[in-house]
Amino acid sequence: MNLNLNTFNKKEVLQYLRWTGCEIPPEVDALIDDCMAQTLSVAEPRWTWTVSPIDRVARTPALAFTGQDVPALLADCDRVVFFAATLGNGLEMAIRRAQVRDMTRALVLDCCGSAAIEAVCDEAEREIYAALNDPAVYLTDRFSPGYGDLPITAQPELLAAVDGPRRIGLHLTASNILTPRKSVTALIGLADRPQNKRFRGCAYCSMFETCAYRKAGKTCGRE
Amino acid sequence: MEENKIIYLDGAMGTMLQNAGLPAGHAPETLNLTAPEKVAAVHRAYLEAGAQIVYANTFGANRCKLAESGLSVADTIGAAVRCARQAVDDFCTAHPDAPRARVALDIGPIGQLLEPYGTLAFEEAYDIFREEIEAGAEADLIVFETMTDLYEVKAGVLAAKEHSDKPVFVTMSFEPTGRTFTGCSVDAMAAVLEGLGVDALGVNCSLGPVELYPIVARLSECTALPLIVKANAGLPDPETGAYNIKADEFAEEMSKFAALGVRYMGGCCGTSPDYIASLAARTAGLTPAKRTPAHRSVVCTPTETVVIDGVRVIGERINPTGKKRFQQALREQDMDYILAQAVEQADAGAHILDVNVGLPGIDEPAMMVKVVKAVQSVTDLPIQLDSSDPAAIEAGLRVVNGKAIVNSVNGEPKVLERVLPLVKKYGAAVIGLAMDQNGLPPTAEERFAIAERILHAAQSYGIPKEDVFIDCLTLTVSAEQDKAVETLRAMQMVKEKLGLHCTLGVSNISFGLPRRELVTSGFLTLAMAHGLDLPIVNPNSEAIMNAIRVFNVIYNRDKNAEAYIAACTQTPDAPVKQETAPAGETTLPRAVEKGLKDEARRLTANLLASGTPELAVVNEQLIPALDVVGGRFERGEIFLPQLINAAGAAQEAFEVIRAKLARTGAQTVSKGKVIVATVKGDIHDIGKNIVKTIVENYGYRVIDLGRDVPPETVVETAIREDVRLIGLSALMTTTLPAMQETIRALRESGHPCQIWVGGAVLTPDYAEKIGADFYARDARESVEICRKVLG
Repeated sequence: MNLNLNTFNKKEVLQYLRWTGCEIPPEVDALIDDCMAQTLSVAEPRWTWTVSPIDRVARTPALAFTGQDVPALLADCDRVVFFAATLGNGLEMAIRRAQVRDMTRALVLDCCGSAAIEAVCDEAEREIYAALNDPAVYLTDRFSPGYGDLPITAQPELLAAVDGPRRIGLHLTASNILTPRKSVTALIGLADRPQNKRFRGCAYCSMFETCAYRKAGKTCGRE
Repeated sequence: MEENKIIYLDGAMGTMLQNAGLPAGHAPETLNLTAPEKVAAVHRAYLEAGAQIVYANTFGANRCKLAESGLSVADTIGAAVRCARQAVDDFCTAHPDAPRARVALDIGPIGQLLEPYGTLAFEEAYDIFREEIEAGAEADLIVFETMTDLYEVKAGVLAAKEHSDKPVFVTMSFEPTGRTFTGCSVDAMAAVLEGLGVDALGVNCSLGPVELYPIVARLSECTALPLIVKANAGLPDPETGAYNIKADEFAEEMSKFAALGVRYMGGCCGTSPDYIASLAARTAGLTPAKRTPAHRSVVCTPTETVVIDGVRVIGERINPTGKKRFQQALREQDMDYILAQAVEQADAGAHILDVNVGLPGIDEPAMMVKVVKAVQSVTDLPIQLDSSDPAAIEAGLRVVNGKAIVNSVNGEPKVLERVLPLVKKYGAAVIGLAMDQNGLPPTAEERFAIAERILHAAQSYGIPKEDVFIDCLTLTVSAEQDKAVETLRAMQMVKEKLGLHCTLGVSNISFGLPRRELVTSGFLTLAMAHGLDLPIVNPNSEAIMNAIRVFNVIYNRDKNAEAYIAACTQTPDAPVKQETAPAGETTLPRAVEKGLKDEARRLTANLLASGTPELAVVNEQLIPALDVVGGRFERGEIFLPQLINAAGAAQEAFEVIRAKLARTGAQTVSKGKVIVATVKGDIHDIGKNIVKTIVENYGYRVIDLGRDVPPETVVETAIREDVRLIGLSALMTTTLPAMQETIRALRESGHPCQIWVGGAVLTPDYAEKIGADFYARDARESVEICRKVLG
């Protein structure tokens, strides 16, 4: 499915740019605005999803029973949503092209892409909730391969579950990197009672691998 | 033989097998070996329904997808084709009067994205397809289906043509936008596949017949080849996955395709033998309409189609002739410099990019491949391959993504015999120079005669007239003043009498005269009025582009002068306006600190002009300025975009210095060489590129091996170039082992070198554990490491 993305969070872009509070000169601020606009114009957001019942006897689908963290996340759930989203190839080309003549622009575009795909996921999650059309259903956090103890090697199974290559043109490289690069796969549990945002903390954060705060031994303050 | 009949294909295979008991998530191809009777039963059901071509159960039988199951490609495909054959034999025995159905080797996408979006090399994709095609040699024809990447299709069709003599069909999957997921348009698909010589083409999957109709309508206008439609049973319900149209409605909608000239009809996801039976019943007696698509001259990439129905600008800047700095970039394999020329021309409004990498002492075919791949990773403009070496032309034609132009052949029979078969095989357009072994004839009539000869030769190889462009050639008017008019006359004759498009390297005309742009743009205007529509020019020249814009207004091509007015009022889509310092106050260090690129360039040129030695500019001005910026970055007073802006300004200053050194033939300023690479399996390279930019600005020569670099490439380069400091980057936990392996390979080679590592997932502890000498948190620390090791 295609999705219209109208905006995304500038603060998040700044966070990906490792901004720590210094004064932002007007030309850099304008560059960020310009890159956000370019990202919105060249991105082709697409997403897809499926729902599976969780069978605790047969232990299916297998992904719901992988490791410790996913089963804990899904403790209250009778169904699990698999979903995938991508910004498509257009932004990839724009970033590569910017790298040739203007590295700053390339960096800012790259960070815009990271913020934009998060926004796409948020919007997709809202659409999933609406499609379920059930006021008594509650969604858990999104959980992706690479979080907690769910290994990156779970990617092929997750991508196959949503038929990613055929439905939204999302693929994996031989080393399980999603291509196009600005893409996300995740699972979300469906429960019949409110779900705590239980997986707070760096280890469960989608920025875990790249977070400059964490590497400097600090946190971003959301914990 | 099939001219006036609709030929029926089969319907979905995967869902039929699942209904027959194939567990979900299981590769359907395994059944060819474990339960061939189930596969044969599906074929038989489609044959009973009326299918005249059945697709063997080989869609995903490539070595990548089969790897997990442990099955071999040869066994799986061999069994699948035998299984389909058996079903056909059995059907014929039961229905002795029915014509014998054909078996297609069915080839689906490999399942990984090709470069530059993914890591799969074009050459590897070719080899994967070759293996499938050889394994399916017993099939009657080869079908590529559900394709979304035209580059992948090209690899497949080439493999088919070079390893089989069976007919080749191709269907691709389009979205309602009329493009595939990778952005490929219907027009581009038709132009490229017609050129590559496929036997039929069309669409399958992704949509139902209703949504596919406008896409097929467009396709029927683009090509005269037989068309194929294998539609889904409507659209799936996102929750249940069930398709929304039934067999009779499917048949009704499909029957409309006959009027578009579709000859091959079948079903894809959600269809069953019922659908094919209904389709055959509903369309009995219908004949595919005859089509006469307009003959158009087209070149393209998958995403950008250039129709030559007006003046189209061919950018001439990717060419080392007479350009010392470009020659140096080629020798040093400095792709960034070459790519900057590509992007600059694209931004300036070029429609097509000429690529010439001919330089004595260079492996031209290898360089052509490298530059073509690099250029098409940063622009989507069609490419013109410019070489006198047939090997370089063929190397370029193989890897070019889209329909290219070959520049050039001339009227010499030997040249025509060598190059025209390549043009035909790869489906390119070709430029014919109106000269031959006796040189450039003086009169228009003689040049016309050669042009006509070239056209006939091209047609004799099956190259259509609309793919032949003629260059009537011009010499400098200062040397042969009476000949410029002959060029103009010759173009007019070629256009009017042969109906061919004309191209011309325009700037030759002004060589040796002052204010060349005046002469060049004046001649360009005259030439366009005489039939030139593919000028080979410098699109960065305002005078040139203005001449073209004015011409398009005067000749009523730019309706209401819209493009002209837009160009006059438009502020270019340039990087955001930089802060401008008051004139006279700025110094080079200040310009670098503020990231002012234009200022940095101008001030560097001034310093060099006033006699400051190059090294003094680097050591006394640029590097101290970068240190100031680096210090502020470390203290958190500025953040990453500002650090890189400063590096960008310093890079501009360096480019001025390099250009001067290249002109004077002096040694480059270099404090030593380093290698940087993103390790095997990893495609995140922006961090590595930032490090490269900044390290370069401290005067180190950086050999950038790119991303997804195998350990052996790092080792070979380190030894060959005798590099003593190597930087490795990895951004994923999954690619850290590749980093460790690269370090081990370097150590085992015995080459004396030190290694620094960086990347989001690395920590100092881990860097030490995998045997690196240094860990760099960011680009600044990388500079400190270079200083420590290389001085």
